[in-house]
Amino acid sequence: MQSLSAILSIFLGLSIAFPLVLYLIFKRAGNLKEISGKIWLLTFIIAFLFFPLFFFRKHWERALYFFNSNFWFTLFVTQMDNNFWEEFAKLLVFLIFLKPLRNFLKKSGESTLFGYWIGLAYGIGEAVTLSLIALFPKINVWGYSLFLLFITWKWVWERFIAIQVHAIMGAIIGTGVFYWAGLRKKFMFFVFFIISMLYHELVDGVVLTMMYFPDIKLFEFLARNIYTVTLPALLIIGYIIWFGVYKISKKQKPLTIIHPDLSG
Amino acid sequence: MRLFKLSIILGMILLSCKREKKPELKLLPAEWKDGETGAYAVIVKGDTIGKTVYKINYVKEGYKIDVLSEAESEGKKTSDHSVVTVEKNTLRPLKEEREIKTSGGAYSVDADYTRKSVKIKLKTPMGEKSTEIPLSGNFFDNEMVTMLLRNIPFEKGFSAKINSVVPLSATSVPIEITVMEKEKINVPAGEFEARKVNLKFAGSEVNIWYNENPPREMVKYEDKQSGLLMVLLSKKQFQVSGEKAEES
Repeated sequence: MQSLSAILSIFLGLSIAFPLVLYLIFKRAGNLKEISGKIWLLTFIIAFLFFPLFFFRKHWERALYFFNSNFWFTLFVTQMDNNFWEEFAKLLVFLIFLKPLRNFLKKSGESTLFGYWIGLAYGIGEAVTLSLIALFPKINVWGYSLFLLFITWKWVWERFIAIQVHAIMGAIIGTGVFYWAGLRKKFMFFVFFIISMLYHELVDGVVLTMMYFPDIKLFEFLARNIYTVTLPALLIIGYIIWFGVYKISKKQKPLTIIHPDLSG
Repeated sequence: MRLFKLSIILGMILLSCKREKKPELKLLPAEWKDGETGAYAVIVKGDTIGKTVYKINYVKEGYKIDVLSEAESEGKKTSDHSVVTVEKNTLRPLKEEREIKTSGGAYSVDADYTRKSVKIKLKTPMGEKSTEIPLSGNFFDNEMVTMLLRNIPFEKGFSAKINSVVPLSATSVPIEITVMEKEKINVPAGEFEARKVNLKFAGSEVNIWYNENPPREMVKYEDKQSGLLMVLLSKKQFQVSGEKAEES
């Protein structure tokens, strides 16, 4: 049942209190305490706004879906297009703030944690935008209808997980940025960007497969237990991937002089 | 390089915005009879899971199309009952009232159409909502489309584009309709010389076969992607007021 408490949880709890707690934790980590409050706030606002700003892609993703709604095409073309733009939006925040963040990218820990922050803000931007479209159905964004969506506690739980999933993607991209800017290993940067896209594909792909093949026992089970088993399991897998990526990056010795050159 | 990337992005936007001009939907005088009723078996991937019964009645405004679908799968019963009121001359929708009952609760939708928009009220177990969406072009209510197509010219190659309004999700879906060849179709109601009509929408494809002769009843409906099949149960079910429709 849609309730005021669930609506407040989205707009105050998940969008303000949750990132505030993480900010207080993150700013104590390593050199991150040297990043000014203004940069933390600006990166949050821009990553947040990038969700509605990049939403225009839904226009051609809708056209792609209308062109071919076959499972494989949807999974590997339409969904991959979505993954690319969502990861690119997070990367763009890094690129915009490359100069003030330059010194913090020389350690993989700082870079990956700041990526988590950017992904978190992007995920919150998604939660707020979708909730607003659901609450005010007259808002028509590229034919995106959420008329059947209500702000219930299930929605709050789903968004709580989705925000962290975006944060993990941001953290993996952050690790990739460390490889590029800190180690000058462009190839590895692309590898991490693709890992982030593939994790996105795993999460959304499982949901898509559940929708296309509801009769297969495994997917029927995953659909029936989406809030208790499926989404938490996908989140745990994400944290395991992030941990693995971080462990690998920790073994790298950063260059002494950092010249982040991401222009070409 | 940047210009190249930009032109690709702009091209994608323009391609997705491109609107193919399709001819206006020509409609013949309605083949619907007052009191007409018909029943279909609903088959999913080879298993008969339920039945759909429709009725058409003449009312002051025009026609009332009443469709009731009941299904049971793995012990869970669902029913979907819609009543669409249609304007007499244009066959445009005036009103849709729909009730869906599932194991998860009951949903009801009320939609009021004007020439330019539809006002929708939705009640669900999660809450209530209302909205108004603008409409343009050849728009019809989704629940009346299979009945509407009985009134198009059955000429091979005839094609048209309509917008099918789904009040439940407050969306409008473009459908491309193409009249195909005649085929002999065998269903429980018997053998029919039937006209195949192909529908393309949202990346999906549906084929519907209509009796070539009046009252051009729907004989078979097939959605290969979802495995849904509907077949006419008996010719006797196509009856008018005063006669009792056969129950199957």
